[in-house]
Amino acid sequence: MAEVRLEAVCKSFGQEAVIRDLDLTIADGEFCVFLGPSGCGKSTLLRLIAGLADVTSGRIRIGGTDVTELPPKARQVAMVFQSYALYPHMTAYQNMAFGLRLGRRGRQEVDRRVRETARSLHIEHLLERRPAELSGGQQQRVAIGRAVVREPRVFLFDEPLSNLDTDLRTRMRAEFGRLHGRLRNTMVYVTHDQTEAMTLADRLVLLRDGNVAQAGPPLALYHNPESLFAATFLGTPKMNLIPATLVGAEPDYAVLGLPDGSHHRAGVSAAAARAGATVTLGLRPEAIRLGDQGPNSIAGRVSLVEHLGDHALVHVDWHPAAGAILTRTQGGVPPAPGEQVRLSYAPQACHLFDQDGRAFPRLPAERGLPPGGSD
Amino acid sequence: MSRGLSRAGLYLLAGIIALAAAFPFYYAAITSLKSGDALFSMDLLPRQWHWDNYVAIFAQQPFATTIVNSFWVATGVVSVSLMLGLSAAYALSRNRFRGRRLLMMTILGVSMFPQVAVLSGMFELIRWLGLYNRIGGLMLSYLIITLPFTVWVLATFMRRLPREVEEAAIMDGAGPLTIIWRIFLPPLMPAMFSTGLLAFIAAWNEFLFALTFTLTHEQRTVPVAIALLSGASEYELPWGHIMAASVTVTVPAVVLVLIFQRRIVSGLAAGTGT
Amino acid sequence: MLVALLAVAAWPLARTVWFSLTDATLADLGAARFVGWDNYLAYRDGEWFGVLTDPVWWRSVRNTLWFVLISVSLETLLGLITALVLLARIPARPLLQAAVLLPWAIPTIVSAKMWGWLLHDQFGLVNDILLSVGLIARPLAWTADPDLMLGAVIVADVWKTTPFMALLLLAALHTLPRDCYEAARVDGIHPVTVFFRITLPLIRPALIVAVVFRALDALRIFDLIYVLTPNSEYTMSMSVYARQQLVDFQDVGYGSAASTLLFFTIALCTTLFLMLSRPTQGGKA
Ligand SMILES: Nc1ncnc2c1ncn2[C@@H]1O[C@H](COP(=O)(O)OP(=O)(O)O)[C@@H](O)[C@H]1O
Ligand SMILES: [Mg+2]
Repeated sequence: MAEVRLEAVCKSFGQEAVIRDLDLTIADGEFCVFLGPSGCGKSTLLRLIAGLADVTSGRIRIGGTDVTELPPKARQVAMVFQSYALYPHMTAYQNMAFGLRLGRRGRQEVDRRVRETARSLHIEHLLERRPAELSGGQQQRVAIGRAVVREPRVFLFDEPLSNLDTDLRTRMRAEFGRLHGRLRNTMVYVTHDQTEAMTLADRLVLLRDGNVAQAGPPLALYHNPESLFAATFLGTPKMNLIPATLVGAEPDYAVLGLPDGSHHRAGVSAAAARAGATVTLGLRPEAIRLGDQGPNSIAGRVSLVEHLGDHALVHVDWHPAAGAILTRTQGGVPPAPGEQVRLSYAPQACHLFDQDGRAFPRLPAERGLPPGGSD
Repeated sequence: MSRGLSRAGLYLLAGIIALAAAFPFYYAAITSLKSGDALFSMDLLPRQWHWDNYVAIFAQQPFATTIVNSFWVATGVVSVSLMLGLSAAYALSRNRFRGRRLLMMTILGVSMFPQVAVLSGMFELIRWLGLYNRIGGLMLSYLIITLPFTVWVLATFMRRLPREVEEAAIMDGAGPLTIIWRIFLPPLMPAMFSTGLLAFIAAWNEFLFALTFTLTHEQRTVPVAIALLSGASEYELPWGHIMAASVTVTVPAVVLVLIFQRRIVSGLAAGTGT
Repeated sequence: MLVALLAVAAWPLARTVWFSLTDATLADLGAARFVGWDNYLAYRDGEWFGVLTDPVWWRSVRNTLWFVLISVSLETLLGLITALVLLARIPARPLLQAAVLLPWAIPTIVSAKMWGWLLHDQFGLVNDILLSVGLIARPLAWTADPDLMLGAVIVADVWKTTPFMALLLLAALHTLPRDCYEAARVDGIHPVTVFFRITLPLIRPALIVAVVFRALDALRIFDLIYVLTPNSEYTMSMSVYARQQLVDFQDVGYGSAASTLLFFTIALCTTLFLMLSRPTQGGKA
């Protein structure tokens, strides 16, 4: 039982409020990912849970116990830092054993646990080496081992992969998934990399300016972002945004006037809005097809084509008042720069946001939406 | 200018530098090995090795006591400054508080104190503590000299250790003392070593306080003893004895320096923030 | 605890400043009476008294300043040359570095005695050599002749402290980026030009720090002068003057006044330096 509850947590550094009145419950055994732009307070939040920093106000509970006033070691949490923070003068073995020895465990038990953990992380052969003699990925494993060996109730990871190169990052990412599958502990994982967030999270908590912008399963956030911020933060390449006016607002669809004067249909519930309002239409690049199909289509000229092997990104200029539209084509031969093309998209693929950036509810039970995200 | 010529010039320069640096000491060593009238002949090689001067300083003067005094003072000063310096450096490098920079500058400022400016105040303090003409008094006064740079250098080195490592130790359940001893100290050992060595040399070589705060032969340290070595009359300095004493006390320092060259160089560099 | 440490350092200083305002004597510090600025400057019965009116003190100020100026300049120049030589890849470099470290490790008192011996008027090697080459006609009293004494002190000091300067500058030189030099080599720039256009500007901050350190250290010079040229007002430094008043003449009040003046001279120099160095740093950034 190690549910983590944050209740009305605030944290300020002097005058600057970094975490503002944040409520969040992380269920027992959940792999929870904090995602957000740099400086939004992810690390601060993690350090509050760890006990490395004190809340300005609010309570923190772990497994039902109020730990707000408890020092880090009494919270039974373990943390893996971005820079690994291995003790430079100790061998991998000593690094992992340090916390256990401080906890006055017997030498034999410590030895057994360190070796067991090392075996499960495939670092047995590295135990006698010092951090300076290990590669980045190996240091990372030792740092994870140091956390795992203590058998904490909650794991905290602060951008643990950001110092690794791309290839290693992909492999270590999978490792984290397996680790969680094996241990089933509550894990809180901080990152600014949405691929990590999408692939690892049971639940994704999107942070913005010290508060939760949206939380839920990653695919839910991807398909039903509640705000312009969530919609544009998730997904690469970014969602296309097109300024529009609401021409018709109905409970099961909306009619949009686009800058080029054409009228398009969007599959959202617009009952709450009034016609004439300024809105923003959001279209994910993979939801736009080349060719003239269906009611929503746009004419434009290809300005740039980026070939990425299995797919290509096509930039299309279409109206001076709006930016280029980016589409992602899969298979076939992409058009050449300078070519005139038509783009079209399904009403169900639309995201629509009001002037304050709030999303209109998308209509459920459409046909299968395009599959999610990047790779 | 051809390459060969400039190379030759470089070697010549290097030779001159080495000669200029080492020769006075060599000459002192030669002098110390002469006895009687040979002292006043300016041979650059000793014709015979006479140890008379060395025998004399240990037999006629309490020179052995002096060396022991110097040794204890220096050792005591080194241990106390390292211990105090380590905790102070920890406090300084760990806490980010307003005026930390100012405090660091003040500490550096203290190390630039003219010793004579604290002479009368220190004299009073030492007498009040009953440490006048005692080795303890010297140790106390030397801390004013050694502590600032010890703190400064150790704080500089400590800041290089990432805060996350310390936090990892906190997460592992370590208290402040454990952190200092088990996490900070081991990687700091090289820095501790070079500051310790610098403090040792500073204490070993100090003169003004030693001259002022000691009275009797038995409490003197090496530099004072050498400065006050006197012969039969005021105009007849016992140069042979002086050179023998000089060589005797310099050899340990020189050996230390030669062995630990690189550490001294890096310690000096860190001490001035270059 | 830091505050406590600072207090321990500040207490004797504060007492010294206090003594400078009293008529304390070494024999009986407790009987000190407050006399205001009398030790610094006083006007009584148509005559001026105090440290500031003592020609010997002014002489010591002049000596100190000349000493600092000349010896620090020489040390900087020689230190820079030594550092550059140490930087070059020559055989037996560790040996050279060891030789350079030697004077630094030798106690000042020992070096004072050694130079006293080398510069001895009758039996000194320096006179002997100069005589035999014919540079001088008769032995010079290096440590007794008023015209030569300060020079002798400077020579001994330069010998002893140039290594310190060289080491600091060497450390700075080691931090310089290699690619600058390689770029210059590729461009075929003359080494001398490289030194003045690249090396010198790059180590300027370190050079300034080293010079200031040495200057502040030289301002308080005591031991070398005390031993090499004892009791001579031609070389007497501010520190020597203050100690003479304090200990030899037992006049703690007067001596403390001289000490305090030295302290504030150094503090003033430091502040001036800090103020002067700030804008240049800001300007370059
Ligand atoms: N110890 C501190 N003192 C002052 N401000 C801090 C401190 N730690 C973090 N901050 C500020 O809090 C904000 C959030 O920081 P952080 O939690 O590290 O962001 P991130 O989401 O990138 O991990 C930043 O604006 C940072 O400047
Ligand atoms: Mg962060």
